[in-house]
Amino acid sequence: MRRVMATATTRVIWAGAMALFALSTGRNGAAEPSAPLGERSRESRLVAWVEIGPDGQAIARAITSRRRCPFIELDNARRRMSLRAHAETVPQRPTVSDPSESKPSEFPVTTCEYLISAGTRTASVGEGDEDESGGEKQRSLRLPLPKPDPQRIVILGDTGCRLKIGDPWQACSDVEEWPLQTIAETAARFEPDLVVHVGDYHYRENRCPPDIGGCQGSPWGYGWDTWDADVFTPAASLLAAAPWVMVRGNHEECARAGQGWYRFLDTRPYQFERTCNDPAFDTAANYSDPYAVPIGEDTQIILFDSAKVPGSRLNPTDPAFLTYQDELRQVEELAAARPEALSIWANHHPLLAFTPVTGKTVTGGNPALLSVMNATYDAQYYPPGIGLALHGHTHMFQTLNFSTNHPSTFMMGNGGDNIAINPPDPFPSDAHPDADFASAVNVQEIAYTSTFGFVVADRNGDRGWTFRAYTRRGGLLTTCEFAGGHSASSDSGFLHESSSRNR
Amino acid sequence: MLAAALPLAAAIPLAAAIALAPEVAAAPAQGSRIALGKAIFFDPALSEPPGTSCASCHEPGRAFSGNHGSSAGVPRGSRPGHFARRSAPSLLYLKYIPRFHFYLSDEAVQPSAFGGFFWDGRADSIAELVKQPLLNPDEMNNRDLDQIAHKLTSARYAGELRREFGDVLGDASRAVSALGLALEAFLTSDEMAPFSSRYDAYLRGEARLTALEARGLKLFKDPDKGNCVSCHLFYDTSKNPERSLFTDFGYDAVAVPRNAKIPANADPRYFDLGLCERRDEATPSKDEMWCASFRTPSLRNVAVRQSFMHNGAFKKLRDAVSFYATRATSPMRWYKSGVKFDDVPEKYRDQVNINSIPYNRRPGDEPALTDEDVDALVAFLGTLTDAAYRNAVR
Repeated sequence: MRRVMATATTRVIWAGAMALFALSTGRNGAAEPSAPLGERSRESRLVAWVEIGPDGQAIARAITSRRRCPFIELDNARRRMSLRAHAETVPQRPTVSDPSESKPSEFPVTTCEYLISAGTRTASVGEGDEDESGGEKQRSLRLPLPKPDPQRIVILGDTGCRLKIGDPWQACSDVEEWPLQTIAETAARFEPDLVVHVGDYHYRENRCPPDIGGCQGSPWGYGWDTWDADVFTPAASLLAAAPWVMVRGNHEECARAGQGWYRFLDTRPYQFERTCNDPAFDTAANYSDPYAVPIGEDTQIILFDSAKVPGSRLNPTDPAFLTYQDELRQVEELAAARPEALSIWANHHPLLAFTPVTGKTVTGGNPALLSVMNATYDAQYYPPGIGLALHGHTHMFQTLNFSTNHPSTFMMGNGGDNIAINPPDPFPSDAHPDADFASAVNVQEIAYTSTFGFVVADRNGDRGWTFRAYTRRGGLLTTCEFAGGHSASSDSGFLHESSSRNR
Repeated sequence: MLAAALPLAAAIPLAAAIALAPEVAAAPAQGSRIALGKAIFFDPALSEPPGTSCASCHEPGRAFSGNHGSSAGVPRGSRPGHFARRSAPSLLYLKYIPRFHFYLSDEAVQPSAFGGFFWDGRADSIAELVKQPLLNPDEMNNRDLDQIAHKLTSARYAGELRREFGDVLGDASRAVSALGLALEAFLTSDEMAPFSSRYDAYLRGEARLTALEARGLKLFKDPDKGNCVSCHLFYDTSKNPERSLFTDFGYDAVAVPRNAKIPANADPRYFDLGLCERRDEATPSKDEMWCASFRTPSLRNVAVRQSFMHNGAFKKLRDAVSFYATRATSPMRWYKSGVKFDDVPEKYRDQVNINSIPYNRRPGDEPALTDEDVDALVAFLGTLTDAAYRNAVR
């Protein structure tokens, strides 16, 4: 087993080197590979990426260890990025852990952003870097820009390294046991036009016990260092490959990594009430309005925030019920606004999908959201116009097609965190995603595996997409053709990694 | 969110993890109490009729497991024709078993059960535990506490018992409690947690695994192959052997084949239901959902056991490992009765774990583990034998 026993220090150096290698450096802004950075990069960290917000707005984000925001160069025009969040240490707040196992969240970095206009041809983020002679040289990171008509999308989720009291300690320094870096590098080699992360980026919540080697030296809590270790360093290659669409997971709710979510990833303006820094505002900050990301002319992804959804059915008078119902109506409006397009629903928790439970047949999707969806749209569950659904949360891959008129569903929760168990094989014929309304939804076909991996979706004609599930190293697990509102998989039941070579 | 698998855990975390269980470990006992407990442990006068000691079924030479001369897979009792209904686990490392509890991972859909002594977690202290074999008619067969106390009064260590606990022998309840505390001192002593296996030396960097053993270790951890670590939790990244107890103390319904040699199994209506038979109102587990679940044992010293699984259905370690590997793909190799999951009542068979790798395959499928993989796993398990028992490896 290959082990990467990197200390926190070496990881940071490596990350800086990798980012610069993938991007560029040079006084004149010309792209050229850089040599790996030395120790100095620890004091001068710069991370940059592009994410897609409402209406397809491309947003350049940068994180720098400096106080001032870096420059962004768009088609050779240079301007300084806007401050999104300054460096600070946020006082300790209530978390899902005992107070004695929590701590203030340190963000010794400046978060910056800049809206990128459609049609921009080149973009890079850079800042001066003191050289050995005391002068200043520029280093810059080339940004991936959105394609007007993306042809290939990588989808992954549930990617962080689990450090939580009560759960097994994941070996964050072992790429075999926490394979996000491998997955990101493999996925990047597919040269995607877009990346969709279906939520749960951050898992390093508690201190690694001093006598467990696999996670020694890992940062913990909810500060920048944990985000760097769980996302920005291991996923650097994929962040450099394409713009990302970011779905929020339950690990990004306010009592967990919500602070970093809003500071770094959420696409909306940074407002104190939505920082998760003050628990008094959690009720608002744990929910977000849906928004749509256009994927060319014929497809859009509608993002739904289920970060704080409970695990049981909601009473219609429950404030959460009303909030989610309002958000469903917004999704309906977003889908109706582009009736000609395939509207893909993306949220973290599975809905018309399954959660395996040892000793039980299987359980269905999230009961709370299903109760609201059922109350709002009856047996259809989804708002009108939704043709496909993407989820994570359960740490496995699933693809489902329905004989009833429900959106084909893909679950991509196998991106790095400890994997789940599998549903039985053969899949129980009497299982239903929502047992309370079993007759309303009929699963025609399901395939699944808990092996680590990701999905690549390639455009295939008018509103058609071909989904291919891969193992962490690129072994093909199955191919699913989606067209005309339904998908068809080349396989059903449990997908063996060992058999993927033959597919 | 959801992570790996555990007993009845939703897709999540596997088991919970298990922090060590300090609340169970008794305070370090004085040497005199440990010695007293050891004397009690080996006292054959404590059974009825006399002749069977704790050590009869928990043989020191077999890492404190054993069959007491039985070939049924479960130990013979103190009377002819009487047998325990479950196999006798090793008593080594007993102090690490946490109290029975439920744990709900923040992303699980239902809590999972962990801990407690016995295969069904029905005792939370060693002092309570020891009463049960003493009073079980199929084991040591004492009629009541008075009978045990009477034997203690005339025991050669009665004086030590008085010195350690005061004048307790006149009160049966106090006398047996003192017996329990003394046994607890012995069973939780350092002698009973030697951590002297080759695996422990490997953790310390003082030994290497052979290529076959190393392959077995990798398969043991591989979530797509053996996936053993999902229940038999350990951390080979820790030099602290207490992190490698090879159990998460959780419960699972494995559906071991019925052992026809257990006398009670002559009645086809009889089934050992495991966790749901446990009676405790504070943390109840009597819900039928827990039927057929048994606690995951430590695998330390598993290679010296004479029988395997809660009902002793297997006599060879390789069979036990092969069972895991091929239960799904070749079920009738194991269920000689022709009934799949034949030691689980029909109404509970849908509670058997058919989800976890390597269980989740269809009959006729290629198993997740090859015969060579099984050999490697058995080789690795052999490294878990403590130094004192290496000659006992079967």
